[in-house]
Amino acid sequence: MSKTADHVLQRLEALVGADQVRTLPPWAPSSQETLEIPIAYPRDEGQARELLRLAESDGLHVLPTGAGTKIALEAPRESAHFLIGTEHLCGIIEFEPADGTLTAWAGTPMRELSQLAAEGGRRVTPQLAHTSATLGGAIATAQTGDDRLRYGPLRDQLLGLRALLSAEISSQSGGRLVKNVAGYDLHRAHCGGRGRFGLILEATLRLHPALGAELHIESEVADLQAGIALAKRILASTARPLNVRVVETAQTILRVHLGGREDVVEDELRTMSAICSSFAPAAPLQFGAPVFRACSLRSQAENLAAWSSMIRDGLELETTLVVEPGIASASLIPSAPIARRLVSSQLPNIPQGIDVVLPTEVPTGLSTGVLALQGAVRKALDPKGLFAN
Amino acid sequence: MDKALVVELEKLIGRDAVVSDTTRLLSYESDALAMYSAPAELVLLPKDTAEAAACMRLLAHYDIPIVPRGAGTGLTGGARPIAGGVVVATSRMRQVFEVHPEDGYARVGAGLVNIDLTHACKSHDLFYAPDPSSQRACTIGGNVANNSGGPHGFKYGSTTQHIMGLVVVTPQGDIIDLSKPKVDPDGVDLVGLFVGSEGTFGLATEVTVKLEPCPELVETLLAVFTGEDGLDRACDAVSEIIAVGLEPSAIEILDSLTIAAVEESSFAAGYPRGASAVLLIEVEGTETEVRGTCDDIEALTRRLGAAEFRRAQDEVERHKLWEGRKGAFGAMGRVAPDLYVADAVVPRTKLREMVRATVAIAERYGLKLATVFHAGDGNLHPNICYDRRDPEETGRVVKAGVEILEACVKAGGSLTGEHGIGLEKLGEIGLLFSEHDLQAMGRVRLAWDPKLRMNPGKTIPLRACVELSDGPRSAESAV
Ligand SMILES: Cc1cc2nc3c(=O)[nH]c(=O)nc-3n(C[C@H](O)[C@H](O)[C@H](O)COP(=O)(O)OP(=O)(O)OC[C@H]3O[C@@H](n4cnc5c(N)ncnc54)[C@H](O)[C@@H]3O)c2cc1C
Repeated sequence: MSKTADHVLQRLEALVGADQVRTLPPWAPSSQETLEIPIAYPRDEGQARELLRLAESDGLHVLPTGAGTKIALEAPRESAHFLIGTEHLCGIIEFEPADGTLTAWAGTPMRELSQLAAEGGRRVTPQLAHTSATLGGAIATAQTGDDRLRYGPLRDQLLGLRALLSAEISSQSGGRLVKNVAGYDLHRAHCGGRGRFGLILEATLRLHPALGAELHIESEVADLQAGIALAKRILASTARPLNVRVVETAQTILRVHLGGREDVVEDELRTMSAICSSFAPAAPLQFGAPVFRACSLRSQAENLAAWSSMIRDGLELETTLVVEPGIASASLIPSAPIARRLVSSQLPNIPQGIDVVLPTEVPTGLSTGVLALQGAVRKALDPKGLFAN
Repeated sequence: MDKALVVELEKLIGRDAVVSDTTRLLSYESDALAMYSAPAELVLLPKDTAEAAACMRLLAHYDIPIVPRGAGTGLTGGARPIAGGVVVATSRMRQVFEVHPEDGYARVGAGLVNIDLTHACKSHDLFYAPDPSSQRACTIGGNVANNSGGPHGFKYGSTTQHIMGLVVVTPQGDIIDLSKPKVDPDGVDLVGLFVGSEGTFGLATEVTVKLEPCPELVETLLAVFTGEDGLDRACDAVSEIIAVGLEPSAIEILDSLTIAAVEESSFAAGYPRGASAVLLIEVEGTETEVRGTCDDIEALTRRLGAAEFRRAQDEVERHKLWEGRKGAFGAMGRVAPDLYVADAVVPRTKLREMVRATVAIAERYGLKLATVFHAGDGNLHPNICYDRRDPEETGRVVKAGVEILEACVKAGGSLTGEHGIGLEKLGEIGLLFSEHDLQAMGRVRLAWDPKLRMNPGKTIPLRACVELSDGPRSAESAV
């Protein structure tokens, strides 16, 4: 650890107690991210404010972090002097099952929110594979869950949030209601902002009615393109699956997740069987964090899949390719965690019409005007320049 | 207005597109909040992005405030100047540039009227979901600026969920092209921030919208409640539909005064005249889904005391039922010359108590209240009938409006579900947001509009911005 980091560590310990400060080792054994970095876990909002005060007085940059499950999606750690872990900023603030809203502290695991919602006959979306992922982390990385095809992106579920922009300034936008247009929707910037615009303290999600019945089915298909062709037929049918995926490892499998009223699911199953007679029930799939994710418009789904498959072949890694033609997204899931840079260093030219979400952080192909405006907005949201970029 | 500037503007966009004579200017002095008005100094009608940018560059040079305007159906005074300045209206930007059925989007001019967008994509079996009751007049640009909702927002959400891209002309006259449809934002979500900014960030000239597939089947239902507590029970039925997780696409309530006005008007829909409230509900989906949901809703509303339950028998009846709802504000013209349409939101568990509270407030001020609202979203529209030529009555309307908002916020609600803050609710925004919240918003506004020339005096109070900028604009000093 460098001398500066040592100094930071001591300052953090003085603020929140030695037991609430750790030094994070490099993220994964194969990582090229060798930087060790202190992480402080404030016990409450007051301590979080103190940490930001320290950052301001000492000219340090901070990066909020949740459970660390999306580390590859965070702003690069190297630009931060210390991390703020939201582990203790957790708990439910307000849960109104009959109103369909849930407000919680940012460090609350999504799993906990899902369980609570289910007890109230509701469903939280996004449903994430990482059960320890936190609410704040999911928002900051704009997580796409298992059910985006049905419910839309996380930004559509986010009704409002409160974030600390500095020790003194907390900023609320939106609210705890399913409909509300008062004030500017600053929470839209935090969603996918990768922790660069403040420390998200609490957020409210819109809930959906729990599903009466759920069913996962799968069928082996000849190859990726055959799977996509079938998926497109399913998407063009009257069924409204939660998810349609083509998963390629050693074999290629088409997987469909159905859910809703029991009679509707039965109907949809009949529709699915008419499209592909070899569908059979399957267990839900659990994926790890992707190292690569790209998306396009639906008409480009085939190109996207072919290009992503080429990336996979070029990587000396064992990965699963998951293509979701309905939301036109392709992901590579490694069998063991690896570092972001391993992939970013091996990305060839990105074809037109494809947007790489991960591992790149820098938007591509934007005009200087757009970049300048984005810069100005970023400055507006982080007026003291405290957050790592 | 400087003569030389007018001449220069005429050179840029043609004489016909520059409105400067006092009579024509009159139609721009207010929006649908007729209670307040102020004249514009000049109105510009550019036909596209390039013309708008050229005009706005020139206005920047002369340091003149700009008020964007669509069809002027806004209900918060947002589309009119507060103290001079130039109105830039999008009424000539009605182009449908492209419709992409496979990718489910269309790119259109900001001045396109909402309903015309749905007409433009109907042949592809697609439609544009946000359906404000004003959709026959309001523009897509106005919808974007106000993040407008509508009856079907219950299922589909507000405008923000349907915008994939924008072209914005900044107050300096620069063109920010974000029109390429994106699955997720590229970097900072500028499009998401712009939606709902009420014309204070820039002028939207082109909009890329998401289109939805037309449902296989649609059923329209009418649950009729009678008796003294009919409105209460209609509210309870809505809360219960939501609590048990039924998923219709729209749930609207109309009260007795609204029903009477509609039935007297050309929008007559066949609502039972003696009813104290009706629930207008729509269900969409596959046949199994629609039948099942309709049966469940019928059982639930009957259990909660619906005296009658009707299912529209054909398309003609369906349309009639909706025409009545969408024409309700217009029909109210029979009750009084003017209508103050309040817009507030309450948690959906508190519909009965908050509708009662609004009725009580109106009664206390001796005002006639008609309620017709997006009940499924908890979005109340207590409509106060009045005559704006009577200043005393108008004063009572304003006071009652503020009290209604205060009561809703106190119950955990919001100042606005779809009409925005505009000019009307600027004084109340502090009920919802702290000074810090407003300052954060003010900083973002300044990032788009460093000189605060865009729709000055609207949406957030001046003090939230000026502390951070080099000083107030003259047009804003009134606020
Ligand atoms: C009878 C009636 C029914 C209504 N029903 C509904 C309803 O169900 N749901 C609902 O949400 N609203 C409703 N409204 C309110 C109103 O129709 C909406 O707010 C609508 O979106 C306004 O559109 P417009 O084109 O008329 O905009 P305008 O009234 O002209 O402008 C509204 C605001 O948007 C800004 N603006 C307009 N165009 C642009 C642009 N291109 N770029 C940037 N800023 C712009 C203006 O400056 C102003 O602040 C209703 C109004 C009436 C009169």
